[in-house]
Amino acid sequence: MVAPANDTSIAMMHVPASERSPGPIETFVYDDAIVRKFMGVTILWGVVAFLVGLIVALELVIPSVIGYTTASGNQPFAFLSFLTNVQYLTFGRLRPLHTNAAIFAFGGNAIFAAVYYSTQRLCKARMWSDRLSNLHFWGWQLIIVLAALTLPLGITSSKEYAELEWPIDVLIAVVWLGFFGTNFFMTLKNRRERHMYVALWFYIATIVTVTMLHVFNSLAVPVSLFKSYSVYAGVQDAMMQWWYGHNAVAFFLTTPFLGLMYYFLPKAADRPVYSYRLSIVHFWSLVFTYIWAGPHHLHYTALPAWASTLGMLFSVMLWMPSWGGGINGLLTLRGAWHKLTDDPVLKFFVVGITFYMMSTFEGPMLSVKTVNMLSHYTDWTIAHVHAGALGWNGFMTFGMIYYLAPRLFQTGLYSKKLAEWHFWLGTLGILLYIIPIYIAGITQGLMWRAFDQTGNLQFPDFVETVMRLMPFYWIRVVGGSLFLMGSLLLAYNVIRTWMKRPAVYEEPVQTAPALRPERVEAPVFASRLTANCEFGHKGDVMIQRIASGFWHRVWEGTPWKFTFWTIVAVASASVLELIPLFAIRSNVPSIASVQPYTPLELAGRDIYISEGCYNCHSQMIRPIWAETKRYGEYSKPGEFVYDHPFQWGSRRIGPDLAREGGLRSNLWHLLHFQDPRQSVAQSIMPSYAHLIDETLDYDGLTARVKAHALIGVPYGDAVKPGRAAELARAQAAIIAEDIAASGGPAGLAERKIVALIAYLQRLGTDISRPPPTENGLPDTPSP
Amino acid sequence: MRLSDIMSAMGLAIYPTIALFIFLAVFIGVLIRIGRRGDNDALTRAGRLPLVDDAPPRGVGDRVHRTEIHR
Ligand code: HEC
Repeated sequence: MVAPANDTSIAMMHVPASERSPGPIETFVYDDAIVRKFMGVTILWGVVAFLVGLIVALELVIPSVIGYTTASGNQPFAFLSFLTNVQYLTFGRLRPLHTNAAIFAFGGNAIFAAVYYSTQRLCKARMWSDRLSNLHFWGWQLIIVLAALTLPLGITSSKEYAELEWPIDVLIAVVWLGFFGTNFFMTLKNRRERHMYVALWFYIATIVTVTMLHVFNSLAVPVSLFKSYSVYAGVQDAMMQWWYGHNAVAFFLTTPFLGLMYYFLPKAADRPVYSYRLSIVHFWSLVFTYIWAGPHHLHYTALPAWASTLGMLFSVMLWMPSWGGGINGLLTLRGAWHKLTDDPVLKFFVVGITFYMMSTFEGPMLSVKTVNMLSHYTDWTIAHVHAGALGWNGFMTFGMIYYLAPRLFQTGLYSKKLAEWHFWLGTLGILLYIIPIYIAGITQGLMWRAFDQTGNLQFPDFVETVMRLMPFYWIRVVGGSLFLMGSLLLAYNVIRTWMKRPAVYEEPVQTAPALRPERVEAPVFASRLTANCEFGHKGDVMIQRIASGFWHRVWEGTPWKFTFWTIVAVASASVLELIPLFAIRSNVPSIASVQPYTPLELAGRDIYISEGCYNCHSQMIRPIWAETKRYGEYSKPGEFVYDHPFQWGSRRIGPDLAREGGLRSNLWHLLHFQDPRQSVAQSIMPSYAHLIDETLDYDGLTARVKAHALIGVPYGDAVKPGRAAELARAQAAIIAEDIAASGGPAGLAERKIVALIAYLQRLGTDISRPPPTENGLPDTPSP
Repeated sequence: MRLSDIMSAMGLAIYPTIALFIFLAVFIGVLIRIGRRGDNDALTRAGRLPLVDDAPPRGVGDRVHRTEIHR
């Protein structure tokens, strides 16, 4: 069969020949200017994201060298200490900047470039509104700039990959759905090709699901322009967060990039995707299973076991469609493998897909509880993420850019050789990143759980397990630098290509027949049963109708139906998974002795959030022997009912802090924050001396307490004007006195550090306290 | 009586399990859809959409997409 010269829609196959006449021929021009813009900023933000990544990687190794002294008494690396003591640059504040830049600035703009280029062509239509395209572009860049300003300033919600504060969240919703979504769906509506190609399905799923995830995870009560509290607490907040977090991986880093793959790989290879059938299963099974997988981030935590088991099951199921999709991509090159030798675009795509398959094999494996018991909180997760982010998202994006640059700038690529160099530097960079970090992760996991012959922890000193990782962290710095260098070559190559562009871009006029209103006739089925049973006949007809697959055919040509069913799939899965956790009491048994934080502790908690301590410290002890031995009694769901937002963390670069309360003296904490290395010589924790100088805003406490009261925290009369500050000052005085009495500096009562210490001293102590007799705040906080 | 008491009494815990089966059923439905014969022409054409959408601009040594159809 030869493809019909004048492409009529496949839905027409069901249309009587008499009605198959195409609509009037229309002419139009694609908007490539917007694609050029998105492609440019993708490269720019990519370089920034990789650079910040390199800086945070350095921050984990340089504390071990700044104290290095030569024989002559010089300290050649001392000048690097700004990376550990300038508050705006500390690991806790920069790491969210790195992740957000990589995902939403680099990944996001890459997605938009792909969507704007391919959607227009697959729909045979210009984007619906140039104005919306541009509002989308500038709105998104504004969000990125705001993120780059607020995160280093410590303005954060502390929910991983959703750290931005509420005004920016509102802006994201407007730009994403209002500008991008509207523009996309209206373009679909006005398309000139009946069949929506599979890439478009992936884009649809991306837009609707990300909207849903973003809105529900970000619900919060504002205190001020820069501060809000999650409406969810503890276990439920954790569940929402990882429902969001994992689906950000699914619907921001996977589905749109699969759309990219399904569009650009066939173009670059000049042959259709291996199996279009397989792509249909790939799509629906991803949409139907991914949404359930989130709880695998919370194995052995205080999350109810049924939820985490469900997450595990669906994660394991995910392996199949993911590999189906990966194989579909690779086999697209059947008969064209020779092209790989001299086409950098295909090289990037093939390695990208290979990393996709590697990560989607590893992911299900890590969601198996027993594997997760070892891997959770270690660098294994970090290696896994980077195989996906650098290998899959990075390389697919680079491949796309090398494909697009010559077409968008309408001239040859400046240098194919540099592109080859980029490919090799990038590949080597990824390997030098992930291999040592895998080793680091497994090493640390094994050290945490190692016991000696006497039944004691073999490495009771946490910092010992940190020191063991330093050589691997250094190799990562090298790997990351190579990857960054590769991206600089890309930037140079694209700029030089751009400089060769023609004075005026050619804008080829496209032609296609307008889409006729759909007139698809459903096949008619007759019951095959002989028995005289009305119900049976109906049933048989229904079975035949479902089995005919006709319904899916209709969806493929009707955007709103397709979108509707996608929303049904993701929303029903989410509701079914989340509702029981929120609604059923037994999922979060309450503990009588657990009381709200005092106003001072609350202020300390806000400092903890703002400094991003959760990037290095967990607050969740799993019921595992090695863990209860190291940290104490395991964490119970009822302990977190006042934690808006939860602070369980996901990585232990430092020790767990869930039972830190009472473990150390106030003075110890003070000296440790001033400079961790004066307490623990090999510590890689940043210095927080600024907290000792800065004063605490006591008057602002009432607003914070009130916001909590609004979401159900029983603060009693602490919400009355001035009362919160009064309570806080009383508690601060006790701590400040204790510090002075133990030989520390005097007069700290008004300083931020006191609040933070108060919070740490409270952590995990409630369960060993007698329940209060009257309701209200516990009266004497422990010093 | 709080909302969560009512919800707890409703015995909703079984629903995630039911949902698991619904989702599997839909999954199988999709498998059937793609397993059906007779759609070959339509699917082949759909799979070729990215290759027929664009006149290459000048300057690109782009092959005109005229690949034979693989069946
Ligand atoms: C770069 C990662 C990192 C960041 C960010 C970080 N820490 Fe640490 N923290 C560590 C490491 C590593 C240790 C173990 C070595 C030590 O005791 O200094 C540690 C130890 C601690 C300890 C001592 C625990 C004990 O009893 O032995 C406390 C308390 C602590 N951190 C609190 C904080 C707080 C509060 C913040 C935020 C203001 C913070 N940390 C930020 C890495 C970090």
